[in-house]
Amino acid sequence: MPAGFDPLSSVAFDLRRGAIELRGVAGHVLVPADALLSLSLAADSETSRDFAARLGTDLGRRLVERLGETPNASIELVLELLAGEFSLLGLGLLGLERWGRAMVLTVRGSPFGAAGDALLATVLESALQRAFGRDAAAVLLVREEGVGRFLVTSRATGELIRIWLSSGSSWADALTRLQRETGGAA
Amino acid sequence: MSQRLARLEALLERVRRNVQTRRPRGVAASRASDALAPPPPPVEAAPPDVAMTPFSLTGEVSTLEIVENETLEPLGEGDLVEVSSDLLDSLPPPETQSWEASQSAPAEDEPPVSSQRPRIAPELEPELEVGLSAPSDAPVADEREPLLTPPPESGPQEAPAGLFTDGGPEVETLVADSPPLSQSGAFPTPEQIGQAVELEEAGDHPLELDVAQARPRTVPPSEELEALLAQPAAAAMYDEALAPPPGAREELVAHDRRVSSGVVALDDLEDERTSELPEFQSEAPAFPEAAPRVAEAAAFPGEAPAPAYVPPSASEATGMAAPEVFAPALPRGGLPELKLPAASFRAQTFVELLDASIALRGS
Repeated sequence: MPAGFDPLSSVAFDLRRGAIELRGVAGHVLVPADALLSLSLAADSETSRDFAARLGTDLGRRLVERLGETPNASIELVLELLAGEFSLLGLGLLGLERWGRAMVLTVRGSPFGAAGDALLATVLESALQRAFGRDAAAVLLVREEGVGRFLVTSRATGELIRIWLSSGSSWADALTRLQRETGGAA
Repeated sequence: MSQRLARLEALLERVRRNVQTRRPRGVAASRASDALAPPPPPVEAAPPDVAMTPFSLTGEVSTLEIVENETLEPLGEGDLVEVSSDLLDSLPPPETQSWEASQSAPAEDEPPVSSQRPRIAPELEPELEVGLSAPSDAPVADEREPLLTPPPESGPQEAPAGLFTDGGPEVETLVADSPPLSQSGAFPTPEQIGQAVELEEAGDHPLELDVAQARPRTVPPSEELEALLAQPAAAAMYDEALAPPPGAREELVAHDRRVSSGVVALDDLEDERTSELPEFQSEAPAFPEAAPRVAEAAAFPGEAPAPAYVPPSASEATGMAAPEVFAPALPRGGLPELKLPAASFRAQTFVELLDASIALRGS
């Protein structure tokens, strides 16, 4: 079991060849975040989603490489490794909140701002899918003070949460209602 | 004179003989030609200087057989005979149709084998003859004037007289000849109805209505031998003389005590739990202080004030010895706080938390 995220030798700049390697894999580029966001927003939704899913899948693959054969990894360890990979891509500082049974991932300081929340949500979904084989949906609950909160849940519940939020419910009320109705159903 | 009469009679006899000489095939062919082709042109009379030779037509082919090769002598003034009107009426009318038939018959004969004229297929000949013979059944139609196609700018053309009036029946005739509705099937016939009962017509008998008489309602005797209770004077109203239930007063006093102590703000579950706490039992001596206030007020109008309530002790109520009371370490002076049990879910691994979050369901 890894002790934690080791950023050493994670990114290598080969100035002689003019290449950037990420964990020994060449073919990476450094692009301005606003240019990348503009390109993503200019593309159609399906293409933009495929682009974000590709980022998340690569991120999940590297997470699995760091995590190894540890299916019962603790929350702190997984969060540390996942947040490390997130930071290497420059996507922001990843955090985790537990609200009862609900897992909420937070992203602070995303370079895309509010316009890139959909892209970040798809990156998170694809990373969890690649690393843990779970088909989950990351639903943006709220963005306040530069922090975006994404509830990780099923796709059906995610659609329900979006309906509740669009109808005027606060994200705290939505989480409370979700806990109550899940407990009543159980 | 007698010779002239004899010659005239001979001439008349030949005319009669020629009239009787007819060819059936030629007549049928003439009818066919009438149906297919326009009517033949009228026969023009021969010039008077040409000698007319009588002949007869025989055979299927238009072959002329000269019967007599006799030239007629030109008539002179002596041949003029005055014929009486009776004699002229006895003469048969001239049949121009036979002459026309004899003239048109050769046109319907079959052409020779070497001819290039179009022929009718042999298998269509019977059908054609049937179709051609149909106009013979409607001789009226043959006598109608042919319709002329007017030029476009000529306007409406007047239909020939008798075109529509001859064939169509009169409407009044159809209505008069049609059977009545009862026989045409629109209404059921008496045979279809069956055994119908005929009602007699209303007579002059006056109708009388039986006026219902007020009959006393009798209650049937009960088989279960139940006695009917006497109805109170004020039924379905509150009876002030009705005594309260035996335990109502105690419950009312206890309720007032709870209201005065503020315990009623809790729900039922909390009330039951807190009532079991020894702390409430320790606060029980406060009840007699409020009892006189409750005893002063009458629960029901016209009722005497009840004496002060003194609750029985636990030993008196249960008949057992006094229980051992343990005072909880709760802070005094405030209402007991109800705490919900903490959530039992506590994920240890990231996958557990992830699965629990995915398992969240809403309705």
